[in-house]
Amino acid sequence: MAWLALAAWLPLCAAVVSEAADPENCLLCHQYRGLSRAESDGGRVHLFFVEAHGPASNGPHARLACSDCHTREAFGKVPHDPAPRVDCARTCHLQNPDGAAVRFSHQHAADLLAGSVHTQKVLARIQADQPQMLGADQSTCLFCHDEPVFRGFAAHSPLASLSDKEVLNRCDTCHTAQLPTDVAFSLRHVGNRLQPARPPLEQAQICSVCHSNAEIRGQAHQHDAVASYLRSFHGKAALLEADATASCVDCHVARGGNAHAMLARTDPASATNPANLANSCRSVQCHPGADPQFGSAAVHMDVLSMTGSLEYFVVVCFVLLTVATFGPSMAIVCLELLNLALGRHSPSDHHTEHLAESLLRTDEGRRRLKRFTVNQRVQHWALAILFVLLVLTGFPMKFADRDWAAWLIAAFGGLSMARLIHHWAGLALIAGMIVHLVYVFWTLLQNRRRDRAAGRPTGWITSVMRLPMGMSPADLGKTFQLLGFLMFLRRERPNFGRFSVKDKFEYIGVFWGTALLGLTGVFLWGEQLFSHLIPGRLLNIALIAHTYEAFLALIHVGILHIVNVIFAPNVFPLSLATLSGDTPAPELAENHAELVNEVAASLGARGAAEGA
Amino acid sequence: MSESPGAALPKPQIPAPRRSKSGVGRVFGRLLLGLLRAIYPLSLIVVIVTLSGLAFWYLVDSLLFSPVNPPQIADLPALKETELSRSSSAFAGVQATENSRIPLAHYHRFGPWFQADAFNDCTRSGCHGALPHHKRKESRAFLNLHATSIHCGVCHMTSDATPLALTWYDLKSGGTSTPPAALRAMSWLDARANRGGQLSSTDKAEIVALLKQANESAKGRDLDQIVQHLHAIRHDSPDLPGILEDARTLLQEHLRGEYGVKLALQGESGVPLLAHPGGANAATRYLATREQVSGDAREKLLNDVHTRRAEQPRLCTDCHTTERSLIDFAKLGYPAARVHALTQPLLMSAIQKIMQGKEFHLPGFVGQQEESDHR
Repeated sequence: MAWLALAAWLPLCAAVVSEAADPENCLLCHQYRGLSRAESDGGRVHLFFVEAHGPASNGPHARLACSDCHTREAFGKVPHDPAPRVDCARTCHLQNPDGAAVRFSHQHAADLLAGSVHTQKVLARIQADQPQMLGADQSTCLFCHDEPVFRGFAAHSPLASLSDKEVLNRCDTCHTAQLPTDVAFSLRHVGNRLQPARPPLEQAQICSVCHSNAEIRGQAHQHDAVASYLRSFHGKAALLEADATASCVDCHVARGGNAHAMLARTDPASATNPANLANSCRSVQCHPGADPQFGSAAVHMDVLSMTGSLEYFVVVCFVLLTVATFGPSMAIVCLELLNLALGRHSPSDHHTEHLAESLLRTDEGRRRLKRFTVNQRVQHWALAILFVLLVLTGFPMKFADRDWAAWLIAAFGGLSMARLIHHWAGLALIAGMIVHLVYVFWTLLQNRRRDRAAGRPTGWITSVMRLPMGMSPADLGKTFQLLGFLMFLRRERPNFGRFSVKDKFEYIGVFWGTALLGLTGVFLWGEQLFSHLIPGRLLNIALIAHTYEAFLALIHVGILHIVNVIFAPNVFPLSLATLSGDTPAPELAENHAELVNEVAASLGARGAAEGA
Repeated sequence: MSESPGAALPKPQIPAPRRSKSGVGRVFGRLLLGLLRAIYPLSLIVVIVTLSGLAFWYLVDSLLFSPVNPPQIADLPALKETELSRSSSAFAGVQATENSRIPLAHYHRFGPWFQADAFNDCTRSGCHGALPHHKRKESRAFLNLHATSIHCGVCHMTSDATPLALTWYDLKSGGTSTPPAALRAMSWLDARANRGGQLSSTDKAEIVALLKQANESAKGRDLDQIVQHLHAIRHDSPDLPGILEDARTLLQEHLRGEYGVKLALQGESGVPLLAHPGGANAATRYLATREQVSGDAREKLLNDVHTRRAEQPRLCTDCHTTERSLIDFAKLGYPAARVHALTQPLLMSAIQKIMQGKEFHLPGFVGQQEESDHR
């Protein structure tokens, strides 16, 4: 039935469909794709083909004839003379379906451009300096514009129904005979004006033609604005093909203004003038609830050009922090592996390992040698799952220009869904950290109560250091002893208890990282709310801190931790410490000998003192 | 085994090493095991150091070097002109609608440009480009225009036959083909328009199949809608004649010489002649030595390559003529209307002027309207 309705509609529509007239029959030749030539040196190819029924037939220029743009002088004879530059502001004729001819010109756009930062003089200079960008016969409008076509409407858009021919069929009931109108054309034309002309990424591509060109930028003393935009929050969203993010035009054109009237930043009326910037950010469509100081957040932040600034200092600090924390950890892991490769062990390892095996054969021994309680294991795996989720949803946003980023985001159902998961996983992680802090504090209180009952009251600092993951001065000393052993400077490896210094350093890293990532993440999520409390610049710093800390966390966990718990020879294929709580005897001997000896001594096992 | 806590545990017994009957095997086994035990941690070290190096490099890069645009930006809007050079044998056309700004210097959007003829030895040998004509300004683009429908040999290879013995060849297989579906569809529709009367379901299926094949051969989608429409409509529907007329109009607009097949001279036993017979070895030698060879030696080598090269290429009017055309269009499956369009006096006159390098002018009524409105 639908097709029959379509069959009834098609002939009617044909009467009022706007199509380009071709009175000069240019298409007699220009419809052939082969109508072209290559320069004799094998260089440029000149294409003279025009696809009259291709994509452009679904655009506002579909109703134009060739002679509306290309003057008579250009093609009046065959072969044609070299075509003069097209003047987009010339008057052309549009043939309405009712037969009336309407004259139209883009002169208004040209007038707006004359008062903007992109004057004809500026464009002409670019054309002169970069002759390869446009042909001699092409208008400078083509720096930004190409042949316009009507963008389709997204499936969720309220305009999507305009694509339905059944809808248009109703309009034709009146608009075919009495009020001749090309309904489909008009609706598409108007509908497209209700959405941005280009997606944000395409807009950035357009602007990059000049604003990323090194020579053009050099003459105008500009930095690469497109590159810095693409490193910003908005730019990364654009790279991930989000439509609902700010494009160049959204910020640089005043709300309600025309893109042809874009002004320089120094112009008092410019949307990006420091006096107006806050209002540009706080438009209804963008950040309406933000404080005016939100405008101090930099979209085009090029940290390298900001040496001496707070932002640059923060970046340097995080780079140094990463090197200072990851470097030694990596060195320890690699040295341990080297020692393993060489078959080097501490003299007591062999004995301790057998002692551990004996202990593990008893129920009580096995129970006491479980390094993680059930509670701790649950916390670990909650952390692990949330960490993985946060990495998988967060790093595509950081490295938005990579192919794998787009693939991952698509796997999560798009950028909006990925963001949603990231935000709520982050909140869950913060909640988990609060739970953990409560747990730690409860443990601390219980320990202090026990110490008091035993007649050994301790201070708070000592109590904290005595926590299982607490770091004491003795641990620092043991760290150096461990390094000495691994570098063949000591014969004996230091003994560690339930948790080695490696475990403790990792714990401190997670503790610090979660706190920092949580805090900065909340700032970034609630940017409008927090803009009332902190200046916009701090949001930039929060972004820097968030991304660099996340990177630090990923390399620690993704490289070192994964090696330690999965690939290390002592635990391969998987450490069960956080699953069943069991640790293999070789691992106990190597990294937790103190615990083994303590348990052996408490159970009165023979041989416990020999390895101590 | 469960023992009560606190009980003294027996001293662990270290088992005595077993003595193998074969000492060499045991030593070799130990060596191998030791090697594996060493290789695995060493491999891990390599992986860790490599990954760590990449991570540190990323940090250093972010601190020391200015950001560069990602490929989504940096690779636009430059057209990779090396793909289009005349020496390229892997010429594959340009997909311009993937990004409308490629090339920057071409305003009109278009779909696929045109596909390489993978069986045309003149271009795939690496000697000639897919757009080989460039010398005469008046005619070069028009001559290249024929590249989508005619093999080079039709104009440039010797043949005494009048009209020329031509055959269609399939661009997918290089083998002999029937006349293209587009032309057969056009003939069918012309005949139908002349005959009138009702259509049978078999007839309808036939035209649908022809149009579908024509659409696919041209790698286009222009006829998608009309094909679907014709497929859906009943053969006895009163609207069918109108739709057939629309199809006839649409097909004329899409007869652009892209049929999925091309014309070529017939070689021995009727196969299409897509290369100079016996010239392959000479072509290889020429390509290997063309920078060094010159003068008579070069001329001789080229003669060895082009065993059937015509001294003078055929003229446009040898085919675009109503009298004794070298191409029997009708026999090759061209419908009468198309033959008329290719050989009409107006076109012949224009072609003659182009060949002679003379200008000719378009009708002047358009110019008067423009002069009054030009600002």
